[in-house]
Amino acid sequence: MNKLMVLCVEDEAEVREAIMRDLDPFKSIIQLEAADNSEDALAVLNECKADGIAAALVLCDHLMPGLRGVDFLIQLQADPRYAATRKVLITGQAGLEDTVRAVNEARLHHYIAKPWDPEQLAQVVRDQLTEYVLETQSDLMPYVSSLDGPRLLEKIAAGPRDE
Amino acid sequence: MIRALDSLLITPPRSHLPAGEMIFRQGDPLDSIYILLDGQVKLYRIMDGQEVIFHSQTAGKILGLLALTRRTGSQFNCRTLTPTTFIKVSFEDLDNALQQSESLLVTFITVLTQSMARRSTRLMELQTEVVSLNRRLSNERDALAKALHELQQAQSLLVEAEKMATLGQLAAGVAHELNNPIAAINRAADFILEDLRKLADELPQGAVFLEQIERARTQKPVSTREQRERRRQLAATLDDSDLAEALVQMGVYSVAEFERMEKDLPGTRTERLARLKRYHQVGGALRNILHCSGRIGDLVKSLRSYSRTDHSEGDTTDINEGIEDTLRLFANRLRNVQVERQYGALPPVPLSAGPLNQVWTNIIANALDAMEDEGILRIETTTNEQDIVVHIVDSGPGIPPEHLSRIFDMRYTTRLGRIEFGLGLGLSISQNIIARYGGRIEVESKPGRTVFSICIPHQPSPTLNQPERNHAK
Repeated sequence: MNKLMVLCVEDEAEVREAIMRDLDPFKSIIQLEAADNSEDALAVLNECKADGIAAALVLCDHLMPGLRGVDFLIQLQADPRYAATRKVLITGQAGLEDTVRAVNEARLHHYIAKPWDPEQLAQVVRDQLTEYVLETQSDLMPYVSSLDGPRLLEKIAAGPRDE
Repeated sequence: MIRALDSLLITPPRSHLPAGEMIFRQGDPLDSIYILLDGQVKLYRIMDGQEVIFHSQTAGKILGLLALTRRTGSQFNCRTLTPTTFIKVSFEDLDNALQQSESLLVTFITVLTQSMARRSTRLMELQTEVVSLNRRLSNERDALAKALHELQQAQSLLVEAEKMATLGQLAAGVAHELNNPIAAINRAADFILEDLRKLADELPQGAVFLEQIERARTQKPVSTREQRERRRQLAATLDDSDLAEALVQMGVYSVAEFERMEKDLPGTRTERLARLKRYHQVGGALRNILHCSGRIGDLVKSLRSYSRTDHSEGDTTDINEGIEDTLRLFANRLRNVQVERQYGALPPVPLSAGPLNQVWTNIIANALDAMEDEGILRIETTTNEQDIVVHIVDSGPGIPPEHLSRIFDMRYTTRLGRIEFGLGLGLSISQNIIARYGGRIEVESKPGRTVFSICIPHQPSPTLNQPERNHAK
């Protein structure tokens, strides 16, 4: 099974730790990486790319030192290597204008407001990762127990993808 | 002329009218001229229901000459002011008389010419009068507009001040309310720690348990980049990237240390690692609770002192503290701003913190708007013989010279242009507050460096001075 790389970009250590711990239920299928600013996030993505790992999901704060979350996601969207990467903004501080830009220009997949509800966060991550594996993985079986099982099984039952 | 007319027209009848009688009305078709022999008449029109007098004619004048020349109806109402005697000569009679006597014609033309000359002079006078009246009217209109503008400004300031006062009270109230939960959270975290220490004594692996909690509690923050670097190093020696990651997260950077801790724990290595991780997480959660509630506490303290509106005689304010409170409340906009502080030792000022903090807020907000929340913000406080001087310097694009003189005006914003002064009323309010204390705000600006200098006298005069305007250099 390919482990799915999930990147959490958040400048406040306490918040980052909390988000990462809330992702514990996915431990068996994800490789969790952390970055405390956008620049470091790009470094993580490049390092993983070098190891042949693509980012499945980026959970990103907005207000951070350096490039802001929305601008980072827009930059990511412009890079074809991350076209399949699911993008989620998790923030308490993005204004309407930034959020609209994130949706329109970064093809944001989901927006989570802080303070987040851990169950909602888990649900969003589950849904986004399910979309990701449906789109990118040929062997879905390993993900059935951690992700959206019924959807994955349905797809498996429908037979192999038309290539 | 009258003699000539008398002889030619065989003494036309003299009409006598008492005072207040109408001779002819505006618009009446005139077929005669009237030669005033005695008394006084007024020529007037009714405009907007009001009687407007144009001429007041006395004996010797001839009425109806204009109507005669232009063959129009009467331009005016004509009413006697005193008992009046006149001769009414129909145009036809006049025509006949003029054809018979050349000397009468000459006299008549002279009279007509004189009358026209008089009218022409009067016209010029009127023209001049109209111009000067218009000027006066326009001056008065300008004065009124100015007064209205000033009134509106004063009203906006009052409304804004009232709004700020209300918000301040709300903020202070909320901040006060937050003190209790924060105190409880702080104490609860301390109690948990206390109990965990006691619990550790009762557990067989208590020492490791406590060590991990303390390690997490006192762990220095490490950047994500450094964490990855350490993970790489550890993974290279361990040849187990999952273990390396777990150790780095616990702040354990050597295998020897891990082996020392795990040796007394039961279970497999994976189980022992999970156990150590759990212990560490408890300490980490405690550290995060204490750190975050500390941050909330600082914010609450700043919010309370920031919004302090109550000021009693003898209270003083530390300007450096006020600025620091303000900066703390701007934290979310300062992530990409390098804040340089150079606080001088300032004597406390006998002023209320609230309004002063409003000044720092407005000017810092403007600076951040101009810099689009990225750049260098420099705060310097100094004191000289007369004043405490606060310089707030931003690295924004600067205020164009043509705007510099207007930035303290009400609602001056260049939102549509390159520079934004977000608050609109902000600088105007700040100016008013500082002027009230007998101080002043000066501004100098060039691209990359805009300096607002706020001077507050050591002995402020908290009187309601006329707001001084426009100190832009």
